[in-house]
Amino acid sequence: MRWREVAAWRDRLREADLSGVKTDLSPEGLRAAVDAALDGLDDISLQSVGSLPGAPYKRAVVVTAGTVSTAALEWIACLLGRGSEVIWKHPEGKEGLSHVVVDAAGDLPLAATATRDVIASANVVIAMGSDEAVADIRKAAAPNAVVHEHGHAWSCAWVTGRVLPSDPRVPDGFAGPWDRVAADAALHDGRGCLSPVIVFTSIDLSDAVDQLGEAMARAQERWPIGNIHGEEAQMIRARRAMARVVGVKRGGTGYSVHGLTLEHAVPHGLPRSILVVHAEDAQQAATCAAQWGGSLSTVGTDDPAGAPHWFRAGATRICPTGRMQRPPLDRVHDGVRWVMQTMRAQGIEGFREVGEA
Amino acid sequence: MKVDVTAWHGDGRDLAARITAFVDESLSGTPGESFDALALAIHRYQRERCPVIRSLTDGEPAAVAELPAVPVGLFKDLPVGTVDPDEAAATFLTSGTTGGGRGAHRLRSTALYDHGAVSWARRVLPTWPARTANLLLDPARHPESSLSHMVDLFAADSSWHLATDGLDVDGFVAALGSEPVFVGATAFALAELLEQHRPRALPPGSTVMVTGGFKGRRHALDEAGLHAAVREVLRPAHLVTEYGMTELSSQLWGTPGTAYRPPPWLRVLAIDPFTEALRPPGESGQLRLVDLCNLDGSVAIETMDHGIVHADGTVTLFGRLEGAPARGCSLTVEEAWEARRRGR
Repeated sequence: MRWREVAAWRDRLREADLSGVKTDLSPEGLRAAVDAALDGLDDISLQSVGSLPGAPYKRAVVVTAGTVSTAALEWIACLLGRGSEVIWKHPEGKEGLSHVVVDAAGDLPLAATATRDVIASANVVIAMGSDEAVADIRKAAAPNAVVHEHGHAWSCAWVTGRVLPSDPRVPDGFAGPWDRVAADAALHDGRGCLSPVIVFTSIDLSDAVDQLGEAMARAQERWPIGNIHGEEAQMIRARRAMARVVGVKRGGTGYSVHGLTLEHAVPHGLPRSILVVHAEDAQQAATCAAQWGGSLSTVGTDDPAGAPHWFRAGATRICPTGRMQRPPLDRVHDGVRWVMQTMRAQGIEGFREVGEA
Repeated sequence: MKVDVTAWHGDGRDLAARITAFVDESLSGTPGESFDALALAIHRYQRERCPVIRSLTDGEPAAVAELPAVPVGLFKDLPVGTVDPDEAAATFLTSGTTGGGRGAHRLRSTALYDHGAVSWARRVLPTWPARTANLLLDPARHPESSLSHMVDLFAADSSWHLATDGLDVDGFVAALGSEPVFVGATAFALAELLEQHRPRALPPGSTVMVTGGFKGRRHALDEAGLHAAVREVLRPAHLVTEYGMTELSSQLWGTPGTAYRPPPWLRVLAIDPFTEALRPPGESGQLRLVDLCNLDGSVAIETMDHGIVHADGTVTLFGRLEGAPARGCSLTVEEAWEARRRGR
């Protein structure tokens, strides 16, 4: 167990210079993403995970396919804390944060590489990426290795306009109903699987688009958007054209908000580009989302009473808006308690029955 | 060729006649009116009749570059064009391989489509086919396939060896015969044929037309590998490439390794995908196509493809930017549709 060393590593990462990190995020956006990930690794959470019974895997390989690389941090923290040797396998030419993370690790057994061969050496593989990427990783793993797969997913919000109680996880100045959504959408520029890509709302569509647009503009001031790629830009423009014909649109520097009807709601993670859809109630919104329910991850909402509808639709995690991308360490992710995947569970049984016999 | 434009009425008939004249005159090198004037007139006609095009129009376009180009994705969700379903003589549907349903391109008559397609193919194909054997859907059973419709125009003696459940390899091989034959095929069907079956070489003097990519499907062969395999196994005298879209009425033709050549009535523009600003010749960009034969649809459409438009109007095509690495762990629209298809 190396939880104390992991806490020290976390603290060094908080102070780490990120200026050399190549990423699509802006410097402010990268700092916010790293801080949000490290916030989840607080001492109490680490202690809580450390108290779970389980044995470490000897060697773990965490494979990340994309550029949202802070997702690896919590895996690495828990695997290292439990006692595993960890290798972060990142895509060729896309080191992202990995070197900063390894440099801060000190004596902890953490390495980073783009070499695919390391996958075959692992006892446990954490595979993140598209269905195709995850399938390729599974093929590269040793036959007796445990492979935990985390493919692409999507998240949404259900907003009724209720004011939620203050929450230390919600960024300062973003406590309002739409500011919370904007803060969720801004982190990782909206490309993460916990980013809301559709906002369902019972509020009038034009009003909702306007209010979210204003909040997105404030988020842009706090955390400027990073790089957008050509294929993303053309998808955003195509959806804007659709909104122009059959909906409402609002956009400004670094963001766009498109209001469409339920029949046109399709989840698609686009940078700082949110689809807003009016629904009469949570049941109607959840019925729409259920079309893609098998890939639905998180629902952020100000209306917890709607939770049963969302669970029926396929969601596995429901939380207040504003903390969709700032989750606690010990949570349900993709339908599993992921921290249990960082260790080999152990149990003892049968002695009482033997003694009683 | 005499073109029957009586399916159109009023302004539509006038425009159909002007388009026909433009096609004929431009092939002889002396068009009677300018491309731009005709494109703008077609846009005005479409804007009056199509709410989608009207909604996308800002003011009065003064140049081809200012025409509102309808993104191809909108055809899946919205009625684009000037023809109601009950007025359509033909309705071509997109393949739906990228999910989200199938887009419709309704034609009041196929006369303009047929005239443009045949006129340009006659100009660019190395030999005009007397017969065809195709790895395409049978147009009699699949009138929604614009590709099959086009190839069906080339020869009266044609056979079709692709069904929705796969290739009819035995029938294809039997249809090859010993005289020169034109083989029309999608890249995917050809790859399937060559990887799984290794048929005999085509008769001497034959032509193979390859069109499309591997959109939404994985294959071991890339484009260059496919062309090499076609030459090695089928040994055609001519290998040609075609670029067309259901949402268009005209096609671009080329050969492997050379730029695609559009007909004089189709202009390709490359734009900056961020700003929509026109890219100068020789610089890559997202492709917009202005097709004068698209009287019933939208005269200007915006593709998801990228390429370079050269100073002579030819186009080097890069295809969709779908090979780009995942930008995050959120779902892409293609993954979303695939997930829904699988019930996940």
